Amino acid sequence: MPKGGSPLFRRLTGVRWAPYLFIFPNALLLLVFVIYPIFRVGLLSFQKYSILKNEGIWVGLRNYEAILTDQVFIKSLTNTVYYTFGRVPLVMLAGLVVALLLNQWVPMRGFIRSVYFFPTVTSMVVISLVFRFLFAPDLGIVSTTLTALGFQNLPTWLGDPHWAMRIVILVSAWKGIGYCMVLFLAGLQGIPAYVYEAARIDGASNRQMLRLITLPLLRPTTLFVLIISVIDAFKVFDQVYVMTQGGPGYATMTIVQYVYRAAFQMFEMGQASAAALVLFAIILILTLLQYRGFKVGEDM
Amino acid sequence: MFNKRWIVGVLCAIAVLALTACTTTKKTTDNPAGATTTPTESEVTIRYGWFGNPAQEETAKGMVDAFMKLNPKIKVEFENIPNQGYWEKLMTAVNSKTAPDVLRLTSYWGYLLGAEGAALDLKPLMPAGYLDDFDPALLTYAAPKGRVYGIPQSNNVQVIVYNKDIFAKAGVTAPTTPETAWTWDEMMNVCKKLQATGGAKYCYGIYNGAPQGRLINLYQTGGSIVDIQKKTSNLTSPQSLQALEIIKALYDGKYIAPNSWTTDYNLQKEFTAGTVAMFHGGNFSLAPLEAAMPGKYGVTFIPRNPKTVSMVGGEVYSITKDSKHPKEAWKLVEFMSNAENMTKWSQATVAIPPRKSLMGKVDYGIYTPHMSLIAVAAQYGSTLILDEFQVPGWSKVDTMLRERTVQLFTMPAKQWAEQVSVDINKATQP
Repeated sequence: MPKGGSPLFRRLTGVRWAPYLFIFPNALLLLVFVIYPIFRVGLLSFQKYSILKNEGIWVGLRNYEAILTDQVFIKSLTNTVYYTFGRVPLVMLAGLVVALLLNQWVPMRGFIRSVYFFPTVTSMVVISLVFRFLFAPDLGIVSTTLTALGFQNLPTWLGDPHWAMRIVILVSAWKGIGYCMVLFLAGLQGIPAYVYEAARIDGASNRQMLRLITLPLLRPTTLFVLIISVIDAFKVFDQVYVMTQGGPGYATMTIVQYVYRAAFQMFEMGQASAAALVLFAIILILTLLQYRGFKVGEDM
Repeated sequence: MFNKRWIVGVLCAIAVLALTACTTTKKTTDNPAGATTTPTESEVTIRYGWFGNPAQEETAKGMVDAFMKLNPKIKVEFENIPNQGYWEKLMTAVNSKTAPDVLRLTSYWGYLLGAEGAALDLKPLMPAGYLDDFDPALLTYAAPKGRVYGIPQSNNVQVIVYNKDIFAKAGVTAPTTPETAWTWDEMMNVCKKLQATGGAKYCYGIYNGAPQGRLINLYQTGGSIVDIQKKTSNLTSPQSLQALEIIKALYDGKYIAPNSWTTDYNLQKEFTAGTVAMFHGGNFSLAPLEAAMPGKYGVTFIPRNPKTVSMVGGEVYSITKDSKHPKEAWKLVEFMSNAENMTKWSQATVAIPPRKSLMGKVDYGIYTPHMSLIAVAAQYGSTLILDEFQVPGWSKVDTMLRERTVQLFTMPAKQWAEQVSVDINKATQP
């Protein structure tokens, strides 16, 4: 007789109940806080819903039509793509470089790793507020320092449509480098030392080892970091909300900021839900494409 | 490893937790809005949702404590809801029927809550003639179509606040009567002086809040954001375009900061730092300025074209429709808006009282000279601004204009007006 579980239960049901009971609390939390909200958002996306009146009217696909013809939504999509293409390569490259440097022995290596990881555990809201002060046009330290160095006609940074998104990307990348570093470090430490030893014996240079050993063997880690970074980039909200609120003139309006705006400022909960589902679909497709792309590369 | 005793123990724990979650600690009874049932003799607890700064909070709590002393059977739970995100929290609370009984709201929120059916019509609760002492213009905010969704708490009036030192250095004297208020052309000449010899980087800090304040000069020329009758955009009318050109001229002349109307632009901070010589503020600016630069500021009228104008508005007390104790909630509102408490509030917060009987009778102490001018400016408040609030879809227009006014700086005024009008019409004519 298999171990575990009461003979009484097994006689009644033929099932071992203990494993299910142990996963039940977490499954309940997943159902209540993830699955049910997604289902509810799906329903809301087909309704014109007033949050104050707490009533919805079925409108079919009109919410989707409204957002897909809304220039602000289109702008938020292009901004989010721009943000992603700006942030992800930057944070991955910087994270990898730092990981490679800190995978060797350097004095106070542990402390330096902690310093790089510190922004990761700091609240994005706090970081955004600090950077907002740093980049204040006339009174911020960036402008006053550049002015002291002789620069003139400085931009207004977060008030300048050409600079606002770049600064948001910079802030996000600064926070994200530590996380990528930790993941790449874990990947690097998973590469067996004897592979490098064998390469050294064969006369390979450091550059060759990096190109022909490290990067290929880091592929699974790189895929993971890429997927996580892209998902994270598409969900950007905190720094935009604190620093620019999507401005100036929609220059930093991103999809999640658009969802927030539609729900709480335009009182269009149905359109907000539709936009959220569009975001979900985009992230799902991108993740699958990335996964397939890497798989094809591996097979080759 | 897992025996019967273990599984029974886990099942019992889950059952206990489930039963605990199902019990209620309070007995709730249905008390429909406007019901004439009398309260029971047992203590009633109502919640008062409030927002504001620490100085205002002290006064507000004092009033609540005084109310509870006079009404020992009514307990008031004072809830300070942070200003940031107040509206979002309020909406979700209303949706989940967990909103406080009494709310302090900006006047437009009071109207919006009422229009969406989430605030109680207070007329059935108030005694006859209760509103007679209130300024009728202020009642328009939260009292559409014969209903009253909010009792005015205070009246804020917008004026120009200027730096006395910069003005003295440039040899500029601020006008003291509405008839002698600068025209916009005169103001730009003043701006040249203030920037050349006064030492200010920018002459004028343009209002950074609601779109009607940002485009205040529209209402001087006969323009407006929305045509009240047609409920369509009025920005492309000749009068509105004339007003928009004035704002463009201020920007092109570098009299206002290039990042005006952006989230990162802190108008009051720029003024206290001496970067800006004067800004579009109001009575609400006086207390913070007195703390930051005591005695170094003055007030004057918004430039005229041909007359000066001001935007008036303030806060209201509302009662949510899901309140279980509307009569007790009304008692609190009535107490806080009586003449004695309104005087206290107006003194503490440097605001104009909405009661006609109190006009000119509040002692503002060191702020008295400024408040005398502000009281005159209040007479030039545009009623058109109040009417626009009641255009359907105004909340969308408000949101969209807060985002797009900054684009006026980057294109011709007519082009901006035409582009924005498309979105305004979509919002007001769904």
